[in-house]
Amino acid sequence: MTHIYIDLSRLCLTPFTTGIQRVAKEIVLRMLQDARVSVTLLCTLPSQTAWRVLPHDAFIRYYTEKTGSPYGEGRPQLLTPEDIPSGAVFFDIDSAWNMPMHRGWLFPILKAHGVTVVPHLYDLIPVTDPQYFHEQTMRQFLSWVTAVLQYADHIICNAEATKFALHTLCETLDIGAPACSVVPLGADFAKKAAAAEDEDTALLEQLPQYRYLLMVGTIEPRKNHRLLLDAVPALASRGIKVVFAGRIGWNMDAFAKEMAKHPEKGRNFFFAQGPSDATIQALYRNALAVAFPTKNEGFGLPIVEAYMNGTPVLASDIPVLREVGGSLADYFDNTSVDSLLAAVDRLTADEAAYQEKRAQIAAYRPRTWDTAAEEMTAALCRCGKDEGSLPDDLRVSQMVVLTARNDDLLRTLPYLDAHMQFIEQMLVICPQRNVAELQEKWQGRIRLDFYTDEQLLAGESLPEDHTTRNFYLRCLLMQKAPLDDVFIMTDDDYRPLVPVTQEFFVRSGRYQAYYCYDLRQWRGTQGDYTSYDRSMFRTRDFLCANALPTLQYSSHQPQIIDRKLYLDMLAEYPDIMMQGLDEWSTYFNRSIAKEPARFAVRRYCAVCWPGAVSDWQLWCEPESLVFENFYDVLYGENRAFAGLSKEYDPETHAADAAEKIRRWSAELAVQKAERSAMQTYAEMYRDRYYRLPEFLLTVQEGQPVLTVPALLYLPAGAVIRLPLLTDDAARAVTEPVVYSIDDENGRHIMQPREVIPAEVDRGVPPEMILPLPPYAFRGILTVSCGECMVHCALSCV
Amino acid sequence: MKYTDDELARRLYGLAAERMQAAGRQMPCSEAVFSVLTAAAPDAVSYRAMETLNNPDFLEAAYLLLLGRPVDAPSLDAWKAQFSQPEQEFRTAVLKTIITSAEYQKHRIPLTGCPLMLAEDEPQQNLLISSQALPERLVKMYQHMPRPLQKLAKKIAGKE
Repeated sequence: MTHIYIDLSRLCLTPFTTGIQRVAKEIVLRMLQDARVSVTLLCTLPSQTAWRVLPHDAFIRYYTEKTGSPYGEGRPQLLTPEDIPSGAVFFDIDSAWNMPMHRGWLFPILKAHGVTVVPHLYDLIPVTDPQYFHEQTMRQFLSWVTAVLQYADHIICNAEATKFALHTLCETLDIGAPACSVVPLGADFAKKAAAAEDEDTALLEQLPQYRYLLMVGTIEPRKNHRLLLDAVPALASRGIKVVFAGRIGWNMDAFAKEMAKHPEKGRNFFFAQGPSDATIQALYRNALAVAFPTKNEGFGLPIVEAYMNGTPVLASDIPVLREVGGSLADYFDNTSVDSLLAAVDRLTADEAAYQEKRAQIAAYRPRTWDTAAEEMTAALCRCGKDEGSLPDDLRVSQMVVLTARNDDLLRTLPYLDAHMQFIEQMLVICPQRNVAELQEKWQGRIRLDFYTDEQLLAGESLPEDHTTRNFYLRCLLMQKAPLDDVFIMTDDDYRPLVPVTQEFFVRSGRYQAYYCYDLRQWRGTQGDYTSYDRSMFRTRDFLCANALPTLQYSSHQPQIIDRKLYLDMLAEYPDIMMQGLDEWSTYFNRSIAKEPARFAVRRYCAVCWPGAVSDWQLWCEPESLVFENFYDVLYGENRAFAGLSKEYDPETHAADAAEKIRRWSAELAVQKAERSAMQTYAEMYRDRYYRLPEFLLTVQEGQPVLTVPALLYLPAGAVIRLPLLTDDAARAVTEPVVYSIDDENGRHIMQPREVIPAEVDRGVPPEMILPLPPYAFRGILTVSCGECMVHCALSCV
Repeated sequence: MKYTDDELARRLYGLAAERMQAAGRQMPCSEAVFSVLTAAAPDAVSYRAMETLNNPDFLEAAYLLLLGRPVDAPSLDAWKAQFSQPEQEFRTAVLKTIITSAEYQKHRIPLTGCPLMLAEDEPQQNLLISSQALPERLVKMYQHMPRPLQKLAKKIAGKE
């Protein structure tokens, strides 16, 4: 079954219904009944970064019976973009360009999580003929198209002409065209009941049967009413009148005045402003033809509506109208009054032929919404599959580890032996000198095989830097070592706490990829960057430069690797081997972007990553706690795992593991509560000052200037990291930003600390790190840089 | 070719601008403003993203991002007289006008990374220099605060 997520914010939140909302409603109501798909309907929350889920029954009731509300009753279920699972399809059928949740923001998040993005493209007219659109619409549409062209996996077009326009645009922009399906819209809208007494008889009495051309719809520049108005005198000489039915639209004030003063008004030219349904139907019934001189159109529903009313059509000779109107319509050049007149002459030349045409049109049956919805659902099922593309019989039995530390590996192996029964062989990449000891000391179930650093390097020397060496070795081993096609890559200190099956790594035809952060948010240890931090920054820059997602997969737990995909990456980017990138994040982000159907993206499952929850601010919580990233120091006095065993003991392991999970969960809960307190404070502050409580560093007249919030409200005992927002000039400041905390009696609570903006990676803000005492106090945070010193009232509660 | 989001947005803008010019019309905003709008996050307006804009562009971007609409003609006429002001003064005036307006109360999208002093009652930085004076200062401040912050300030000031 395919899981489809549809954002219907425009349909639900706007008081009126446009053509697009009609389409969305017709399709979605049918999709909800289709057993092939599971549909989740969404409406944006005021935060604009999350949705509420619309209950199906409430939605259906509201849009079929007009009762209740599409939101239903009771507590709403909330959903963020990160909650949409890998393999699902995000289908944009509503007018997403009008939505405040910009797709340029949303689509990259969905893509990074392995969600298939499928927009519906109604037309590209705001790009190809922007002059016909309101400024706001054009601006928003251009932004939306940017996101669509950059991120869509597949586009559903409503007509071949739209697909052609899309391909032409991609060629013009020199970009690859995304995959497309064409699914024409339905048109069997339920006919509105119209009472005869609502007819505008005063108007209708002036219009002899089959002696007038009718134009229905909003009067706007693109619809080209001008051509018909210019043709009024010539048509009048033929005994043909002209009727416009609709309302005055955008940018038509001058035209409206011209219509009002038209010399033929009331004789050969009529304007029915906002006519009733009964009047419209009567106008259709008796018109010689519906004229449709439009400059450009997405689909041309007015042609179908004319046919459904039994009326012949004279339409612009443009591809999309040819596609929709077929052989029943007559076509003319929409820039030429003469061409229009010639078409009218053809229509009126032979009364018998005209009646024959009306008979053919009377037999016309429009394409149904049932068919359109069925085809659209089928197209979406082809795009995204709940089941991934990996074979069912995929078996994994090899684990691969790079290590130079025999002790660590020997302490980890019993955990793997006991809890990862599907692993039969471990390929150890280590120095030759380590092999004998490992062979001698390991007597467990898992078979150890060796491929030495010497074999791998074949005389080459290793890079000095730890992460550069690591990445280089892993790239080499992909190329040289006797690896299975698919294997589990691990480090020598990742220990399973509970039994782990192959399902943890590959499920429903997808490799499970576990992330722990977004590299764009990774701040590292400022002032003392580690080799790891620098590797993360380099990886972020590499991924951004290549328009790849930026999730951080060095989750400090074993992960599954497809060797071929890794080699594909090295073939595509041969220069990266010596660049000291993160081996996990490069592989997963690149592979997920290339082969989304093979992956499911999930939050990580490691205890002790970070080693202490105060080491860095969690970006996401672990999905569950399955592996321990072993840190010896955490078993010391007053540390998280004090009193628990560091070695595998089959007798006590279960109880120890349960206790570790309990204690780590408690640490996570404390940090979560601290984050929540900070968020509440930020919201309160924003309510008052319309801005977030921020610390800013700028440079004015060559001098650093600090701006601080009015007051800070921080949780006692927490380690708080306050980002210092900077402009470009401030990033060059080499003087330290010094910060300290005193209580209200002037006692030092925190001795001065400092951060030097120029030494912080430019992709992230400098941070002030405040380890707060575990008790409440009131005081002052003092921040200085150069000659600027500012103070901020602080309440630690 | 593979472009960054911003490069692609600018290329599309260029294409639309050509078509508009051929039709005898002007684009509704400059390429720089379009670039800022396209990159905007849905839940906050970044002052830094607008920093490179000149005064007319800044005005337009600020209205579109903070109020969700273009500058209305009467306002534009009034602002035009100030286009030649130094950037910092002009931006402060624009942002102050917007965030203190009743219209902005409906949107309330927060402005981030803005070093300018905007609200009239923005606490003075030096107000709190003396830690001894803190409770008294806060008592003064909380009189103008919404209820949750009043409570907080009272706590800090030891009045609760």
